[in-house]
Amino acid sequence: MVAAASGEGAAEARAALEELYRLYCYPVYAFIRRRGYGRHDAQDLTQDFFVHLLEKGTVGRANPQRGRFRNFLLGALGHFLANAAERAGARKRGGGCEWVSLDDDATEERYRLGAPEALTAEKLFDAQWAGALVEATFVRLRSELESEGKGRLFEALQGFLPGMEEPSYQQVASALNLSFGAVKTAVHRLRVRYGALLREEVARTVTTPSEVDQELRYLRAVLRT
Amino acid sequence: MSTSAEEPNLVCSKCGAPVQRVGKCTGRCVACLLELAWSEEEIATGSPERFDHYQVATHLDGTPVELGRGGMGITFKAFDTILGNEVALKVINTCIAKHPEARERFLREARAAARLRHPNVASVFYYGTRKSDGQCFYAMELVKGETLEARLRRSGPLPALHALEVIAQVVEALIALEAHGLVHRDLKPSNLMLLEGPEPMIKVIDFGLAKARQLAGARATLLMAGLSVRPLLRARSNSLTPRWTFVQICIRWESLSGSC
Repeated sequence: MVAAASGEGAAEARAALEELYRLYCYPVYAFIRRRGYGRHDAQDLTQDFFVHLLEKGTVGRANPQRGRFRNFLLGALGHFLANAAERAGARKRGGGCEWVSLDDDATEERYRLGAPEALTAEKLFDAQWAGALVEATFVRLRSELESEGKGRLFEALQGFLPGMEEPSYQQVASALNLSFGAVKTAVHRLRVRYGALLREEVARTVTTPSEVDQELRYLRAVLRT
Repeated sequence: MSTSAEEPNLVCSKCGAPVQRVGKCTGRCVACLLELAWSEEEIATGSPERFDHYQVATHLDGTPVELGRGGMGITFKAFDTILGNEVALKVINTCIAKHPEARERFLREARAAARLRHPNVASVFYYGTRKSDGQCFYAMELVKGETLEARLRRSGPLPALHALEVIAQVVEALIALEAHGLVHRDLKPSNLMLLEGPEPMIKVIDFGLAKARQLAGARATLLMAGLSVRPLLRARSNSLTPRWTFVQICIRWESLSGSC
């Protein structure tokens, strides 16, 4: 995805950048908000930032050998904000991309609920980056199961992934007309598949497979701080 | 990581941590969801940072948060994934863990500390052996503050009244130990934690050399409240009493106050 977004002017670069935006617009928004910008300015600047990435070919300068994409994007964002005034026109042009609007209360509500005061803008970005990876993994897992005609199974079993309240195996078994053992097996498979997809998501943002564990540990440490 | 005013009690069912809102998926614990990238076996037994249900805290570069290090082992900051609170986790040194007598001593240390509950003694509440490699560990109360040694090094002698209070609390702790038939045998500023707060509050930690008094060896070394770690006394077990302790603390009074 990152490599595709690096291709200058190509339609696939725009598509890849749109995907980047979809995945990571919220960490960017949270970072900008924590830097002291108001919600509307932050929404505009978030979009401006991604337009800027496309128009200036910034992503194309990301060298996989020089670090993780998360760090690259954070650095680029810092530079971007330092020159925010000059970027004011970028949003109006739109960069040829079809952006999903951030202009809704949900984004700000999410920031209000999920951005601990104690975190710096950088750490908040990293924490939200972890959240974005998790969210992307959920989307992929759901999509995968739906394509196999198992959408209802996913809906019933997703609660068994770590969260607030784990449902009862027996209740789910009854609801899906499956045996207790079959539900346990399905939950195990769901967790294993989720883990594999998460590793794939992380692998897209690091240079080598060996960095996946390192990146996961770093993000977990940020969240456990 | 955070909860809202409207949703004050959202906690992860797995680790007990406050649950972070993740996009449309409200009520997901992102940290636990990240851990699904590792297999259950890796998490339960194979991870170097995991001891039963205790997860060792790590710095942002992934290295464990170390609270202290001694001859017997290393103490880490850790997270109780069941109860959701922070603890101090002492893990036996892998070099000595293979020796049965060392393991016995480590267990004795944990038992000694677990035998009493006192406001000036850090509580030990769990002892375990990791299945994957047999490494022993125990969990104890996480005392937030700094060692008396660090405090003295950082800002010199304590004010006289604070020093007196510290000594009084140490004596209280030692009397409690005595009442349980225990002798610490390794009392020194680096084993005294000074809690955060305006008033001095001391907790005795690290029972690495503790013994039941009736079993104490004749060649036991008593290291008392000196700034430098040095043997002050070689004594028979029947000499290791709170009276001796008090005498030794008074001898080292200048270490605390610098005024005698």
